[in-house]
Amino acid sequence: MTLFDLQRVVPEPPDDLLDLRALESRIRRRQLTRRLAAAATTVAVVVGTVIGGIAITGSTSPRPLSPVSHLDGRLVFGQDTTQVTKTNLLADTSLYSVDPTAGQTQRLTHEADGIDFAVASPDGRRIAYSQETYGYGPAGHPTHINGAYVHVANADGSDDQRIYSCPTSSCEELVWSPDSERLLINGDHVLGPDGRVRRLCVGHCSVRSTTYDASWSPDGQRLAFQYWKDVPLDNGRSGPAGVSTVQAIGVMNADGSRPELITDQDCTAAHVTACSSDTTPVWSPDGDSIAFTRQPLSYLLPNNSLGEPMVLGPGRIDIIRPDGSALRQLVDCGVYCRVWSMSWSPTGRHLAYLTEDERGRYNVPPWSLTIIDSQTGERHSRPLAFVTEEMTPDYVWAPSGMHIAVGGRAGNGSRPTGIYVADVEAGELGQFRMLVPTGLPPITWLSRANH
Amino acid sequence: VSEPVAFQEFVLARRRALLRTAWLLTGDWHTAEDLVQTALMRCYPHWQRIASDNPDAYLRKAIVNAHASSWRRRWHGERPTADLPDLPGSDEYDAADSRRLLIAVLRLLPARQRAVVVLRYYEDLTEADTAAALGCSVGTVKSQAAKALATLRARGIELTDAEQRDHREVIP
Repeated sequence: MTLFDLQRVVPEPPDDLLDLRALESRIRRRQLTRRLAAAATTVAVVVGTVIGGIAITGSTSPRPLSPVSHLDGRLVFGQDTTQVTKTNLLADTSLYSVDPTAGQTQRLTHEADGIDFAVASPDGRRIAYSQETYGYGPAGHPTHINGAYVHVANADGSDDQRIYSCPTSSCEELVWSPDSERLLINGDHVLGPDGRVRRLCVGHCSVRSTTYDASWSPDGQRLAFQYWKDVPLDNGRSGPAGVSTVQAIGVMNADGSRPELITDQDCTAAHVTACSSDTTPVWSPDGDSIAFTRQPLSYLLPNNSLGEPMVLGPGRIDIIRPDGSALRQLVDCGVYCRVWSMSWSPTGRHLAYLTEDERGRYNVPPWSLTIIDSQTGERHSRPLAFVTEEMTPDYVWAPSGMHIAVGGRAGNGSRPTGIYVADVEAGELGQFRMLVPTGLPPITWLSRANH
Repeated sequence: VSEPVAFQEFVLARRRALLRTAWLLTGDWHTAEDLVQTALMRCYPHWQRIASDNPDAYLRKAIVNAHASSWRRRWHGERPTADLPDLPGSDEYDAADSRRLLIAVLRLLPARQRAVVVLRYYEDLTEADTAAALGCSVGTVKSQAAKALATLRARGIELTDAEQRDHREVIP
């Protein structure tokens, strides 16, 4: 056993860190941004009132939902079986489902260890979920992760089978193919109809070329993926000196063949302002577009032209055709704003996304859910008053596209937010109503067709 | 900048301490600097109130919160590894190796447990003060500390607490 005294081990910081002038410049920029944001909000509300343009809605006061009509299918959610959220480890989180109309809850999984991701198949027949197993200390508390696995079960929880052991400590990305026959795992493995899991290879299957956040084309024939590549720029944050890792969007056949980058850029010091890091592609239901988040690489550089050392980003959503043409910017929520968890509505007209905005942290909830019309750019945002800064929200569209359910992954030592549901009508998000007080992510929605 | 003297004086006086705390949370100086800058930037608008109370406690809390926000961002996030550097063979360990090992081991811990370890075993805060800094109950601090220490012990590492440190310094 080695005895560590943290106070003796921690080194002295270099003298040139935390320059006062840089700090003062950053504070001034933040003050300016907040004033501009306040002015923009005022203008938007006035314009929205007068001409029905952009509407920024106020915070909500959730009310219990029991029962409600017009909600379709069954909502699947996580719940701590001990009713106490204990740790960052997700021990004792099981999956439940609820009929939002009748309010009847059913437990779907029965093993003791943690479930951190779940997704219903498009046909509503099956659920894929990822599970972590833990090692336990003498006091009976989980102390470390032993393994991570993917399970597939019927929608009622029966025939639960462990189909894959994840090589890393988690399996975060599970995406069903549109025909519900194949399951994409961590962006680079596919479970086929024969029950076998095969590795997808992009390029030569090197570590750098693994894919994440992949998305099926609606015909199930192709995948949009996020490709990691090294560029000869030093942003001071990743990789060896003089090299940065950025992401580009690519498309390939569903068997991994014919990969092609569609947002690849000339990322050199001479072209840095045109270079960006592109992530999380989502293929539109009509197959014509791929939406993705974009962070201009100049934002990441410690000494960019603005003197800004770090931003929250990516704050942009761009749309491109699968052949790489017709690139257009849909949203730029700003340097201090970050876009999370973008997804198309089932109808394909709207996109939903979460934003985390640093500007309002002391005045309004940091998290908002926005729905934007992909054609007109008209958007409606609603602050998630029930999700605090230390929580991570998750949301899911109902299969009909008429509702959205939201929950917050509880921070350590805090209670679950509960699961809330809001109506979506003509791209406008209604008031959130509490559905399951003790529910927490993962959440997914089973279509009604098979129940 | 409307209160330059008090704010600047604090930054100049406490910058090293703040950076060291942030280094323990992040493992590198550049990210630590970002974290401290972010925390100072968030505290600045409320500086008059903060300065008259307990600015160290506010800054610690702001640093921990900023870190909690940053680790959620997957593309800047850390990827845990099962491969740790070799443990040093004796108490007379080389400082650089020890730091490398320390950071590798701290990265094994979930962010919240790491924050508890830093506040309890580096800042020497009491359980109550740690709970206040993290915005959770004392019970949570106890359970988180226990889990973190169990993980570290499983890797052959024991941390010195304030009491042991005082005791060791009294006995030659």
